[in-house]
Amino acid sequence: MNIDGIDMRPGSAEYPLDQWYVVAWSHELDPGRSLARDVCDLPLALYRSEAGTVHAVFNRCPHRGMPLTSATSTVEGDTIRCGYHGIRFAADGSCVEVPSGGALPARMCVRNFPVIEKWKWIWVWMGNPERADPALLPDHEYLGLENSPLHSEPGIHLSVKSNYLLPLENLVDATHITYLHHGLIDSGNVAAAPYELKVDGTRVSSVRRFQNEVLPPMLCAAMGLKGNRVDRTLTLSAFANHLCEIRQDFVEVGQPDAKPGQINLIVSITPTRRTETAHFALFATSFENRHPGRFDDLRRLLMEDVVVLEEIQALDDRLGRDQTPEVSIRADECNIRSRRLIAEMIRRERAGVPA
Amino acid sequence: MTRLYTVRIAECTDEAVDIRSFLLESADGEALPTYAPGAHIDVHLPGGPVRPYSLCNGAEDAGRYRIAVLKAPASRGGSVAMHLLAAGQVLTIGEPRNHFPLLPGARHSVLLAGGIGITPILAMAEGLWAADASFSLHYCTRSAERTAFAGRIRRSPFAGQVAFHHDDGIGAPQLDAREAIGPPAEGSHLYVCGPTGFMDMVLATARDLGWPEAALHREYFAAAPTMPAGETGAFEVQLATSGRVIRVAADQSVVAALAAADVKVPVSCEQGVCGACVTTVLEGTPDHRDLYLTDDEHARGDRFTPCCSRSLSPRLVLDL
Repeated sequence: MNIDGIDMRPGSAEYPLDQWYVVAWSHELDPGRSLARDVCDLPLALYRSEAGTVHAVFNRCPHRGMPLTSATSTVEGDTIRCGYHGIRFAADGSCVEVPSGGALPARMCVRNFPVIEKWKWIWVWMGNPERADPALLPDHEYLGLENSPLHSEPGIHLSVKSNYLLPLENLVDATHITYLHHGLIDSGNVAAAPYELKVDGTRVSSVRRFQNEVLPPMLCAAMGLKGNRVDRTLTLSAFANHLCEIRQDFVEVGQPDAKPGQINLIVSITPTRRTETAHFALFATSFENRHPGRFDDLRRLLMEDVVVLEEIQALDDRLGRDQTPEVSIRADECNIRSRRLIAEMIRRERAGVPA
Repeated sequence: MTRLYTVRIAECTDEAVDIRSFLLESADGEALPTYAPGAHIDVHLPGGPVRPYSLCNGAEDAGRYRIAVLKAPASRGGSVAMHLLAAGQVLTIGEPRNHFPLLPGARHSVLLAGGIGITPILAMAEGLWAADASFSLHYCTRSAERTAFAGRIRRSPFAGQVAFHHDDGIGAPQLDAREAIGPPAEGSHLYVCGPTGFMDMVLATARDLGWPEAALHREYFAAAPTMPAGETGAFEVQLATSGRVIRVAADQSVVAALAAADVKVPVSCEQGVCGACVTTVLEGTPDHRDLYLTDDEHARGDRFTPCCSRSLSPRLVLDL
């Protein structure tokens, strides 16, 4: 589907550049080290100075095209030195040294990208740096990551060979849970349950309530239950196009000392290529989650989706647009609302309107 | 999958002018499942159409379902078909679904019903009373003789919390929406059901009073049957480029009327979700029934979804 001339079809959807995207866990980048990551079809060199500041620049030396994250490159203070001829760039992308001498050409520079390190995530801004407003990050307090009584820790990093809109819509679509994840996280109630749609700025949520529900073992373990019955509220939210949150507020049934609990599964959505997406996924929980298999379970669950999404993408690529119609149903209301919001972000970005 | 039930019409009761309630009982004698206030069932009408009706069981209706239907010739045809049914006839219904639930733990709930919109609202009022929760109910109708369930409400233990309003001002004052809704308060929620224009007016007033969006709740499907366009439900669309006028019958979608006249509009979901058919309206007032456009876009009225939306004016001029 096109919205205002912008391709918003899962499989090929365009993405906003004026957006913060998670590019790495903080612990993936030690002081004095660099890391290559793709975001929005661009190769980035991330590096951390010895003093601890993270920088991001275009990962290609303009001299002879060497990636700046090659094995022989080095991080020196807040600069990075190319491992081919030793040309050195400052964090703003300007060239500060050509070891072999001669004039320093004005065009010997690389593009730099705004970076924010918040909680345990490194975020980059791929669009106009003048519009890189930290206030546009999702509310970390709300997510239970900062200034929050919830417990959180870095989780898993996963790559999907599909356009970002496929996993984004998958994560906040409750109606597939009953079928694709049958037995794993659903006991058969979710698909047909009524929901309430909420739109708050660029966050689109659906809320479902269940009473005295019998949950399958994986969920019971994740939620730290003694038994297997809860009253719960399931809230699925898409934060614009860069983060999904699956929130469960629950009270265990039949346990006299049960206190209300909360478990948030937070999954970042980073378009790395037009048909490739990176996830950084974690839990924030009201209880100390000591279940040793928690991230194995999470990976197993997400992989059930990944396999399907990659199949969909491959079929779309093979058949082309004329043979791949998309027909929506009632429950797609939430995702269509998200698509319209994302298209509007792209439209405003292209018109030069601040986000 | 939604479970289906075969039910028999146990009784038909005239509740008000043009409003009839139907008590449905399971054909095999089993009790029908319980439901929460705000829930509806899909009724499969003879001939194929499926229509949602809110459940509004009375005290003696346990194990059965009571629905009430306004005879609205302008609607999509379901209400006229319903009014032709008689006791003893057998129907298929879906299990109760609730797209309009009460939020648990609200400190106070303001309920507003317009016309036949009383059905889920009455169930909510009875549910809130049973839960000992604070609420007020404003019930607006055109006149006393069009006020369904007036007796049931006046005999209820919460009658003192209900204010009746009649458009003709006879027997009850007209609604002052600002006064009825009042200023927002922490933990207060508003629920409204009725004709689209009524719900839009109530929600616009609440927003103007500063109510947060998260505290406002409306029933969506109930809008349709009570909003007649002119007297018949049929209307005309005019194509701006050719000047052609095409009549849309009461039981026909705009897309179908256009297709019958060989005018193709791209259409996909046929229920106002996907936006494939969004068409510019140059003149006239659409009766929006989609989920694609936002409230602001609905209020602007310059675009509509011809797959499911209709017209409040006798003619819509479309940019086709």
